[in-house]
Amino acid sequence: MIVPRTEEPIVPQQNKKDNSYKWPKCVTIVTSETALRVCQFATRHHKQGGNLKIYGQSSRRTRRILGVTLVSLLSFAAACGGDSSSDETSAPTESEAPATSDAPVDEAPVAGGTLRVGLEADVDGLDPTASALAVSGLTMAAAVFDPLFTFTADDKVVPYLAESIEPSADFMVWTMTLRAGVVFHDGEPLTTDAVMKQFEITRNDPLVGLAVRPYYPETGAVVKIDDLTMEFHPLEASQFFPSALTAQLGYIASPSWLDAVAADATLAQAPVGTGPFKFDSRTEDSMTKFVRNDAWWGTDIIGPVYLDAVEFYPVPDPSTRTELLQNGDLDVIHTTDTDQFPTYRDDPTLTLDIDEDGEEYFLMINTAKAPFDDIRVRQALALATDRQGYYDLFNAGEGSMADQMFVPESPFYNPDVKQDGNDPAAAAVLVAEYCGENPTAEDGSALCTDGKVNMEYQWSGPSVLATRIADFYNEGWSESFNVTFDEKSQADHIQEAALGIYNVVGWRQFGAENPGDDRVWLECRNIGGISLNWPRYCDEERDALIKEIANPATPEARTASLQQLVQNLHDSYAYIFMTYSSWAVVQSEKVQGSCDRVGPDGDSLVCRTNGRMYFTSTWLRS
Amino acid sequence: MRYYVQRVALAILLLLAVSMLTFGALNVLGDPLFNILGPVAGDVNNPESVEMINAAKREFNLDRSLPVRYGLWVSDFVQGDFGVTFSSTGQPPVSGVISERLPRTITLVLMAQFFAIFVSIPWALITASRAGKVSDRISTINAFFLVAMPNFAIAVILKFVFSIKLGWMPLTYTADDPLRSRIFQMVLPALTIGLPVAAVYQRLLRTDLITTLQQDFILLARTKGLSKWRILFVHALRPSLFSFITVVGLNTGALIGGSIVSETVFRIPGIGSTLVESVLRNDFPVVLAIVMIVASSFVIINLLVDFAYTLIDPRVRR
Repeated sequence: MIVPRTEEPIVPQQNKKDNSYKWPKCVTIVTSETALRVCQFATRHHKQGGNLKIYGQSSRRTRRILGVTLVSLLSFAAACGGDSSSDETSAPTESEAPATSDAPVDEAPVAGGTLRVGLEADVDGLDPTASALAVSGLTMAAAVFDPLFTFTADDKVVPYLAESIEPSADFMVWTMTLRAGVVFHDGEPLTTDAVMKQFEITRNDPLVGLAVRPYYPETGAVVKIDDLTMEFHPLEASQFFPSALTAQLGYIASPSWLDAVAADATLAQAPVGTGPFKFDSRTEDSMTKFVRNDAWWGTDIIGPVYLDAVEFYPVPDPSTRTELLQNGDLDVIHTTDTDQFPTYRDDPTLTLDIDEDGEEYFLMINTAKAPFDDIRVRQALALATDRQGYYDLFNAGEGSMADQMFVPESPFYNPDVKQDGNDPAAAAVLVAEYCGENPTAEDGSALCTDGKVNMEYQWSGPSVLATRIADFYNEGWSESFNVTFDEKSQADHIQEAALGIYNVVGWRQFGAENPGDDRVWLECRNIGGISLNWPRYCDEERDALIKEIANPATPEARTASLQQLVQNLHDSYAYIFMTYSSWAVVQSEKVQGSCDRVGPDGDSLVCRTNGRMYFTSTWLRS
Repeated sequence: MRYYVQRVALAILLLLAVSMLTFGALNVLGDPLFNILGPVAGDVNNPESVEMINAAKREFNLDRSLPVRYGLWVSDFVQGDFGVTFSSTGQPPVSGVISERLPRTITLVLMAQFFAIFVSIPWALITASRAGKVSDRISTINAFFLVAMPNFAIAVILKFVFSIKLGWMPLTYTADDPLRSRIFQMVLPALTIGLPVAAVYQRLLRTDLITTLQQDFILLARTKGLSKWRILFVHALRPSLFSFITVVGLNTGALIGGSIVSETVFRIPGIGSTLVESVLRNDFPVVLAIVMIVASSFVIINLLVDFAYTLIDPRVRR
């Protein structure tokens, strides 16, 4: 039996404000029997006067709570704790005193700082012999590799890593001399052997080799003269041979690194070249960092590199890229998202540079596969496409519609060639004629249903915009075509295009600085199991034109041949041109000097190409 | 003992079923050769390409039947070998990918749990003490709103308000930044996951608190003159935490799956975003490894909770 502490009853003091009771000691409870018993029990464990600490009904309850807590803690322990330590970042290298350059008035370049570049995609490798480098990869590659040749601002090709190149009289032999004293980032010297080794590796690559194999003999393609001199022996004469060595095919990598990549392909993500920057660190899908190469051969000949480092951030979403730039998290970005252009123009802290001389966006048709092996169907698709509507809806007044692979300002532009479109009635006539023949595919399936041609439109995703574009196309096509849709990952999309497993795709291409270099996408010799001639359209007449373009009698003859080529492309209906790609490079006001690139002989070099950027002359205003 | 053996056996069967379904689905729906060889995988009319295809099939056991491949994979998996990624630029071990990315997801999930717990407890205490009143009803609406709102919508709203408009928080996550910066960059992503979870915890805890507050010992505490907040924190909260703690523990595994949206929107290279990318790339070994890690976490935690219950209440064993 529980004995109260006092013999006299102690009444509670009532707080009239909130009607609560204060008990100096727990003795008499007037509200309930249960409360009395609890209070009396707790009194035994009373620690402080006036305060009760009720420990629960029993220790068993406590054990239960502790047991559950333990289980919960175990759940936390099930996962590995701690964040991985970040890749080590090298400390900024000491920079030399800035040299004078073509800086803005009253402002000399300042050495130091890290440039943060936002790219539209990451890369899974920077191996020039094997990686399929698009604009993001080529931008990163330009930091760590030097091309053998490069373009000037007025579209001439000049030596860069090479010192000189001389053609034979018939342009069938090209003698190239490398620059002496150039070393790769790993200390190996640049020699003829390194170039020849890379050439052979590239030629043997199943994909990149497609751009090399058709143009060289099996043996004797490159002949060594001495440690710095070699001869190229292409299969055909080309007056513009060096232009093919201004990008990926001209980026020379360390032979030791190529050997290491052959043993472990993951090393392709840590490139070793001769460039102004060298690889420092990489976190996939997050950031790749290159630091200044203080032993760069160009420092004495071209000028110092001002930046301590360049960091590349893959940001696939264009809106996010813009936000990061405006927030100061990035210094420069590239984009083709014309929706963002007004934002850039309205922001006084940003500089917008738009290049519309490059690629075109078009619909590309597989001419080797029914029903589009019939030119009537291809023409019908072109006529049924609402090109004007596409431009109005998706370009919103930026850029311009494209009729062909050259802009109107180009000397090669053919004013007689206009892209067909926006004529559904004419399309219906052609489709009716075609379907009236009851055509069937190889497997016997009908190519027409209910008087309309069956087709598939494929695009790469996931992309809300691309899906919306597909819906838009279908609105114009549905009168004459039964359209099925197929969204693929970008890798699958490209692979199926290369293998010819598609009907119609959206594509972006052409715009090479030397238009003759677009031959790889157009010639019959580039059609095979894997085809760089994506539409698989073979035309001997076109091939003959391309040969003339590569080796013209006069510049005027070349212009005429290119204009004929444009007509030929139009007449094939393998492409339905939509718009000129507007590549914008947007940089914050602290980024300076990006277009002050010069070559070894003092030529002003091109600073932007289809969204690609270069960083040898860039500096950051503090 | 029999009970424990049964539970372990069931857990193993469950994991086997998950692995079989996942393995089968991935191998039926995609072709990993495209990942490994690129377009060469489809160039079947070229003898050189065919040779490369056959070599790749032998190297990755793709020339064997599905059951044999599954058996080989299970055998490797239980030994901690998750295989290699299917990539045309080398095949790094999957364990390397997981070990690099899993800690980021774990950090994100732990931060989300932290927010959820420390928001939901005071929230539940306040609403439970005002049960039935206008403020409680408003709180209920808010809680249901958070639960009903899709994760990606919360992510976008938080990003727009706090990163873009106010500029208070960073826009994205950068894996190479210092640890403090990375933790700060994870605040919004953690809130994205944590806010709906906090609403769920709040509802659960509120219900338990209301029940507890009706107990006689609470009445006693009130009549003793203890303050409202002392009653709530000291007397009511602890006995109400039983279900709360159980759910918090069990939910940790679920949050790993919930991190997918957050990691994608805020560009955190964790296993959630890796899972999405790997599915799109048909990178089966990575998908399999992540699915099995998450499934195993669920099963093991469940198992441990069940075992703990038997310690706490032996009646469960019968």
